[in-house]
Amino acid sequence: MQAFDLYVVTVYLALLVTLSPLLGSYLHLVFNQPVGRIERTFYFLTRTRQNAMNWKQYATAVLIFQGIGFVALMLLFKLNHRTPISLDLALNTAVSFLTNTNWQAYAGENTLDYWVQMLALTVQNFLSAATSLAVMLALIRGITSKETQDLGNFWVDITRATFFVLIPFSVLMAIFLVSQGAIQNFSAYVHAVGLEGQPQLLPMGPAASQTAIAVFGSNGGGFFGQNAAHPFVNPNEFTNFILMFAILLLPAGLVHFYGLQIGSKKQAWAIFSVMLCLFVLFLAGTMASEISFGSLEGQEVRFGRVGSILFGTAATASSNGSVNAMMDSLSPLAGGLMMLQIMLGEIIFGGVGCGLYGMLLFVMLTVFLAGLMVGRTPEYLGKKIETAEINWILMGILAPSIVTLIGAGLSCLNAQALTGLGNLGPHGLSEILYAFTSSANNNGSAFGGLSANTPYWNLALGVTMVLGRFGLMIPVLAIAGSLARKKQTPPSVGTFQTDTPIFAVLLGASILLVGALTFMPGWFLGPLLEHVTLAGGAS
Amino acid sequence: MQPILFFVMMTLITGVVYPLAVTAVVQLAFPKQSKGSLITQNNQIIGSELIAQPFHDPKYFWPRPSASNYNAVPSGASNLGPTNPKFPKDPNQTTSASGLDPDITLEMARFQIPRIAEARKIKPEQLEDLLAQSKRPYLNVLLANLELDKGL
Repeated sequence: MQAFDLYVVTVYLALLVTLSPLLGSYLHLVFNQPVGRIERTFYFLTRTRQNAMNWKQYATAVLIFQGIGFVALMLLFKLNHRTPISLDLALNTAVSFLTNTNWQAYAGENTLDYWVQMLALTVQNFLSAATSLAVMLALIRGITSKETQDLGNFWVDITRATFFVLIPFSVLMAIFLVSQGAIQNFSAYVHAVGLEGQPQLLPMGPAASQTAIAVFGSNGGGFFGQNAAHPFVNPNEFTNFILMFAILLLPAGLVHFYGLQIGSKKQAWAIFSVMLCLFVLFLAGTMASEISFGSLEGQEVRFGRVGSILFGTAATASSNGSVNAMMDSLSPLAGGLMMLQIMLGEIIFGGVGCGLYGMLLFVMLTVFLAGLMVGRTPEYLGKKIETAEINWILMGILAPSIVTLIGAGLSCLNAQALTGLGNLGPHGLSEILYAFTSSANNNGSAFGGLSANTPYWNLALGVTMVLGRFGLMIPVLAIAGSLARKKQTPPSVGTFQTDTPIFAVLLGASILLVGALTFMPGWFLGPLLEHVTLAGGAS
Repeated sequence: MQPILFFVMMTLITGVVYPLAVTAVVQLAFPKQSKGSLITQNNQIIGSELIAQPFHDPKYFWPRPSASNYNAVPSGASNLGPTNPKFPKDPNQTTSASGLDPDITLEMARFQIPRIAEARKIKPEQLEDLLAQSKRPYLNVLLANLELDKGL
C-alpha cells in the first residue's frame, strides 16, 4: 500500500511540475492581450472606464467592490428561505466568502436555498479569487514598471481573471465532476425508502458548479456541510485526484506567469522550487504520521489514505478551505503540520494570487536580510527596497500572525469560547488555534469539532478574517505603488542574485524561521503535546 | 454607479448564467449522475448508490457507522480527536468524514462474510468470489446488497 501512496504522490508532483509552466504561458497570453470584443461589450454595458490607477485608487476600488459585495450578501442571506440565518452567522458567512476564506459555521444542505448558494456564494467564489489575482497583477506591475504611478485598472483585471481563467476552467471541471457522479440539478430533496424500509431524505442542488470554482479559486466553501468528503460532490478516487490537483494548479501556474511577466523564468523557478520543497517536506511529515497512526476515523474509504492526506496537505498549503477528511480526527502531527502550513502565511503555492503576493513579501524580506548581512542597500529586480517598503512588508507578514495569536490567546480565557470545544486537553487548544490560524490566513478549513455557530465564534472569527485579508492586501498594494515610482537600477557586480540556489535556501530558511519564532509555543502545546501524549500511551 | 452595475453584471454571469449553462449541459449529457445516481425498484426510489443507508439485517453487508446516523440533511462526522477516550480503536467502528460513506474496505467486507453466509445459508466462498470481482479496493454496500438479493 505504501508503494501505491508513493506512486500517487509522484504522479501528482510530476503533473504539477510539467503542467504549471504551460498554464503560466496561457495566463501570460490572457493578461497581456489587447481588449477583445467580449471584454469591450462588458465594459460598455457596465460603464467601466479602463483608466490607469495609482495604488490608492486601486485599493479604493477593491474596498468599494468588497463593500457592495457585503451589502448584497447580507441582503441575500436575509431573503434566504430554508432556515432563518442569525445576524452573527450572516456577518460571519458574508465576510468569509468576501475574503476568500470560506470558513463555514453552517451546513449548506439544511441552511441555504439553491439560489442563495448560487447568487451569494458561487458569485463570491469567483470574485474573491479574481480580486486576489488582480492585486497580484498590481504588485507585478509595481515591480516591473519604472517611475510611474500606474498599477493598471482593477475592473479590467478582475474581468479578465473571471472571464478567461476562472469561468472556463470551472465549466470544464463542473462537467467532469458530474460525469463521475457529482450532482447538478434544481430538484426538490428526494424522499427515498431504503432496502430495509427506512426513509432517507437526500439533498439535491447545483453542487458541481459551485464545487468547481471552490477548488480553482482557493475558496473551498462546500455546497454541503461535509465539503469535499460528500459523495455528491466528490464521488470517487478519480474526482478526488483531479480536485486536489486543481487546488494547486492555478497557484503554481501563477508563479511561472510571474516569471514571464518579469522576463526571467529563472526567478520564477527559484520561487517555485522553494514552494515545492516546502510542500514535499510537509507532505512527507503528514503522510508518515498517518501511516504510523493508521486510523480511518473521519476519512472516506474511496479516497484511500494518500487521497485524504495529499488532499489535506495541498488544501492547507494553498489557502483552500476544502477538506475531504476530518482534520480533528487525523493523527496529531498530520493535523498539526497542516496547521503549520497555514501559519507560514499560505505561501507554499498559497491561494490564487494571494499566495504569490504573500510569497513576494517574503522574497523582498529575504533580499533585505541578505542586504543587511553584506551591508548593501537591498534591491529586488532593480528596485531598491527601502524603509517604506520594509515597514509595509513587515506589516503584511505579521498582521495575520498577530491576529491569530491574540485571538487564540483571548479565546483560551473566555468561557463562551471554550463551551464550543469538541475535544479537551491539547486537542482543544489545537481546535482554537486552528480556527484563528485558518481565519486570519483566509484558508477556511477547520478542526470541525469546534461548534463555531455561536455569536462569540462567528464575530471573533469574522473580525479575524477581515484583519487577516486586508492586513496583507493593503500593504501589498502600498508596496506596489511605492515600487512603481522607483527608478530601475541595472544589476551590477555587487547585486545580490535572486535566481540562485543560495537565494532559494535563504528564502526557505526565512519563511521557516519567521513561522517558527511566531508559532512554536502554541504549536508545541497543541499538536506536539498531543502527539507525545499519544506516543506515551496515555489518552 | 459603475461599481454597482459591474457587480450586478458579474453576479448575473457567474451566479446565474454559469450554473444554469452547466446544468443544461450535464442534464443532457449525464442525466442519471446529475440527479444523484438514484436507484429505483418497483417504482420506489430506494436510495442513491453514492449515499450510505442503514442496514441491520444480518443477511446484508453493513456500511460503516455514521456519526449522523445516515441522516443526509445535514450529515456529519464524529470529529473525535485521537486522544479523545471515545476515539474508536477497531477499524470496523470508525465513522467516515461525510457520515454517508457508501463504501467499505474489502477487509471490512471480509469481516462480515461469516454472518451473511449464515443468514443466507450460502457458502462463504460465494461471498469471497463477490469481493474478488470488485475492480476497486473497496465495496459499494448498497450495490453489493442488491447483488446479493438477486442471488449469487
